[in-house]
Amino acid sequence: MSHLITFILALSFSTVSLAITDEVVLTIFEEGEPLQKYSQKMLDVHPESFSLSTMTPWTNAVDQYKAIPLKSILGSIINKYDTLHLKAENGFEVHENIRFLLDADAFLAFKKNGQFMRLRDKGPVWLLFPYSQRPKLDDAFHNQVAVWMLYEVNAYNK
Amino acid sequence: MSNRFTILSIISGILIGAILLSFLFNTRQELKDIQVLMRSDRFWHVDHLAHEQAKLLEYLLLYASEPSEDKLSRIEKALDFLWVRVDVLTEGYNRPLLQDNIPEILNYADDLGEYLEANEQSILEPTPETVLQTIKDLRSLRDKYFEPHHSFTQLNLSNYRYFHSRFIETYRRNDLILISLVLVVLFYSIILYTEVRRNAKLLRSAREANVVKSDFLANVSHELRTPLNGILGSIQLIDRTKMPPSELEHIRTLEACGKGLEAQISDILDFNKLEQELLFIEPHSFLVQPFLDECYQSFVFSAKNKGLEYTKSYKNLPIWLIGDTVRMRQVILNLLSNAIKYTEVGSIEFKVNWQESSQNLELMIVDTGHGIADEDKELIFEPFRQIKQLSDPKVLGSGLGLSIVKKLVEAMSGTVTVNSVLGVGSEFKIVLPLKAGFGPEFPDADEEATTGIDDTLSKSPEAEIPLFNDTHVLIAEDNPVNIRILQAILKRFGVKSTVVYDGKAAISLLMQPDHDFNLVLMDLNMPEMDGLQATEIIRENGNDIPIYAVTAYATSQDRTACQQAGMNGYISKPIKLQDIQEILENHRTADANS
Repeated sequence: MSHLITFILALSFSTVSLAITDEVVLTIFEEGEPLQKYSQKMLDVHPESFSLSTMTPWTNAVDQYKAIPLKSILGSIINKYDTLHLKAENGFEVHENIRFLLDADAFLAFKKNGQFMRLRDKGPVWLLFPYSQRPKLDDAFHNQVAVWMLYEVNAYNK
Repeated sequence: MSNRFTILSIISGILIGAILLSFLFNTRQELKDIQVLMRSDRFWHVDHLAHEQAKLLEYLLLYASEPSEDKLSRIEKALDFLWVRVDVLTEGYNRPLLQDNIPEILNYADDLGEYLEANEQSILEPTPETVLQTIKDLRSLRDKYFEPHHSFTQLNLSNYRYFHSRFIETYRRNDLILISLVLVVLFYSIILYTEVRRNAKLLRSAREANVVKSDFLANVSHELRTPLNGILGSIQLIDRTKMPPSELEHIRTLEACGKGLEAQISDILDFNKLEQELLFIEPHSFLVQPFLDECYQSFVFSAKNKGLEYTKSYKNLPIWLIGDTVRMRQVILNLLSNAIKYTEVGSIEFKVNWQESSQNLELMIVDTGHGIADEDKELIFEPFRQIKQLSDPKVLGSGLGLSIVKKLVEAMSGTVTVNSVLGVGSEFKIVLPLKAGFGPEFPDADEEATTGIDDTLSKSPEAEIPLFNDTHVLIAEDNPVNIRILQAILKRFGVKSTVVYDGKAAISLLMQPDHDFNLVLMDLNMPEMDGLQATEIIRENGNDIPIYAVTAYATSQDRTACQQAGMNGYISKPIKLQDIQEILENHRTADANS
């Protein structure tokens, strides 16, 4: 009986886990038209995903993030458009020049210290910069566009 | 006055620079401070903390009135958002900033975080009792928040005012810096303009003074030539055949001194011309070895007299080359003469090498003389310089020799270098880029004339004088000394002469159909009408009588002018017996041929 309960619990947890990872957490738009949708699972297996340890102005320690370069996520559209409209779950929005973000090696983090990031961890996707590697990026201009709880990116020409 | 002005401008420049630097330093510091303060987003998060808390309260109230899954999901999200705000205020760079400025807000965020952590379960899984308790607790916490939030708003306002005043102050300072910079640039532009004008004026004055000096030197040299002409001319006319040896020696000394003086005057005139760029290089084809031999031979006697070993060596010499032998001779003779002058014992070598690949003629004069100190090697080529080791009272010269050598070599696109060790000797090396010349492979003896060797020069004044009794020469000259010398020389050759004192008189005599003149010696500078104008008129009237210019110092322009006017040649003052003899012989040969 106890084995059965354990099995049911395990099954339910794995279902929950699958439900989390398969849900769309980030959508890329091209001039308002959906271009690509990403679940946490898709982000995790992305061929250009990488790990990086960095501090951020809003955290106490250096954490390890798994992320994908913004350049890779956007693909060829970076050559067609000049601006990104970034939207966050908490209602925060910002418009920023693509070149400005790419020059700062912006990346989209989705795992922190090996765990998918929850809303309260500023996830599921957080646009970050390599602050530890390039300390000069820690300024008002970059910090303002380090969007957490990011769920929508729309590329367009201003 | 000028020095004071310069010192004043330097001091003011330093002061202005220091003030500007201090302004710039302060501005940078201010910007840095502002940047640090601006970097933090604590105002935004403090404001949004209240907003997220209000949202959570709103969703809890809605749930309390009528529970539903949708409302529960909203509560869950609102709690996450609130957690994020609590985190960003209590972690990272915001924490110390809040701690320093308004710790009440930090305390509040900490309290809220602790409450949420302790009661998360009851918030996410509310019952009618727990939801009301949570609402009550959160309201109570919010009331605590009002007081510090009011202070925070005050701080925010004061910060805004502070930033505003700092920005205005910085802009004003930058304006001041800009105006100061404009003023500084203007100030130094005026100084620069004044200096440039002053320097231009000084340069003009210096050039004018140099022209005056050059004119003066030219005039003095020219004026010295007339009496020198008299001295050297008279010496030539002295009958030496019946002279006792002791007196002959005095005459020779007198003649050597006169010629030395003439060489000095020539140096000064040459230097003047080189300075004013009036000396032109006139290259022509010449026989190389005879030319070099002639230069070498000029000092065989002097070297022997001093007991010096005097040798020459030639390597790869072509038969013909193209170059200005007059100027090359001047350079070589000058260096050989110096080598003889400054070498008391040992040897002098004259080495010549033709570099076929580079088409360069390399001339080296190596001596075992005084030598030159390293610090003097540059000075020796400067005009009017005589270095200590060379200032031997026995060999004093104008101090122009080597500067003329350098200028002449440079005018021929060549280089002159010196290697010397004090007390060991010197090696002067001249490299002249020359083109291959043209002429027969095995030249006749007659062609030695192209070497520039004037065999009449080697003739001794004591030699027998030929007679030209059938010749009548018209002398057009206004200077009584020159007239006397010319007449005396012509008389020595048995030539009849007639004198006129200007060009007009010469024309009128030559216009007479029954005149018996065979030759005209024409001075260039005469009153009423000069020699060139007179010659032109004579030629215009179809008279082809040989006319020779007698000039103090023939420049290439003078020679061209003589040729263009229709003259047959020229002789330079001081007038030499040999020059007149050559003209008379040419004239006789021409007559015999016709």
